[in-house]
Amino acid sequence: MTEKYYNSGSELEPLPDSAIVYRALLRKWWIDSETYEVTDDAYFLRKNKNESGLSVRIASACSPSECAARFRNCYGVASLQVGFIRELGLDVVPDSPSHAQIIGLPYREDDRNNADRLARLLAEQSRLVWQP
Amino acid sequence: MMTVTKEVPTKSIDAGGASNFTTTLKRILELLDLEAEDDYGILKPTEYAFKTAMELVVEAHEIMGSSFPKASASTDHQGSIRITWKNRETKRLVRLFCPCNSEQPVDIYHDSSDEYNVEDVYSVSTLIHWLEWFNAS
Repeated sequence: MTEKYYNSGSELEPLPDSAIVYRALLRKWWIDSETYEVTDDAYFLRKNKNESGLSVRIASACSPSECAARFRNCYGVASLQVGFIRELGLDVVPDSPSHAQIIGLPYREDDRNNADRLARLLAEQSRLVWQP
Repeated sequence: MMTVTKEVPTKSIDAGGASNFTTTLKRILELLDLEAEDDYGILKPTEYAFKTAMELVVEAHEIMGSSFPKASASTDHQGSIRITWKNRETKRLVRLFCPCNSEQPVDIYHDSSDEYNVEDVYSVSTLIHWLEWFNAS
């Protein structure tokens, strides 16, 4: 499901490094069936959808189950700390009080090396915090 | 999307690597049972992706035999297939990308704690090279 968010024009405060964001896991293999770790598949940008960032929910404004409830099929919710994402050279930019985008990821079609590497690093830092 | 007949190759299934190979094969075949699409995009692999993945995996197993390692299989949002070998202890990862169509290259990503790279796959020897690197850790 592709969600669109629009900044109302009012300035949104940048997220502190300590903030937590949630990534909805929309396919069953985004969770390793043996280890229950989040897999790299959850962190690739879709070029054909013109995605500018990966959709995440801001934990201070949304619970994991509320994050999951926005989708017809959600196999889990992963948490990530904003400071870690920034250490990778990426950023997390809010576009509404409860939603943000992880920006700075390349499309795999344009930069396979870094798309794969960043997907792995994001997956490794993810923690599975909710499953149905 | 064309229908793909599910035929499991039987030759060269020897002891040892057989369970790893059959588990990998089963995981690739299970992708064919998926719905065509979900909210995220195309869910079921394209025929091109499936054929490419099967050919490379079967050929690699025919040569590697019992050392063929177990992999997981998934699709992206366009029906491409990713086959991933991951070792948590050594932190090594190999991922074969079989694109949804012939306009994109088949490639392989390898990653350890201190190096990573993607290279195009022109023959099964590239896959075997990186699976042996994966096993050697």
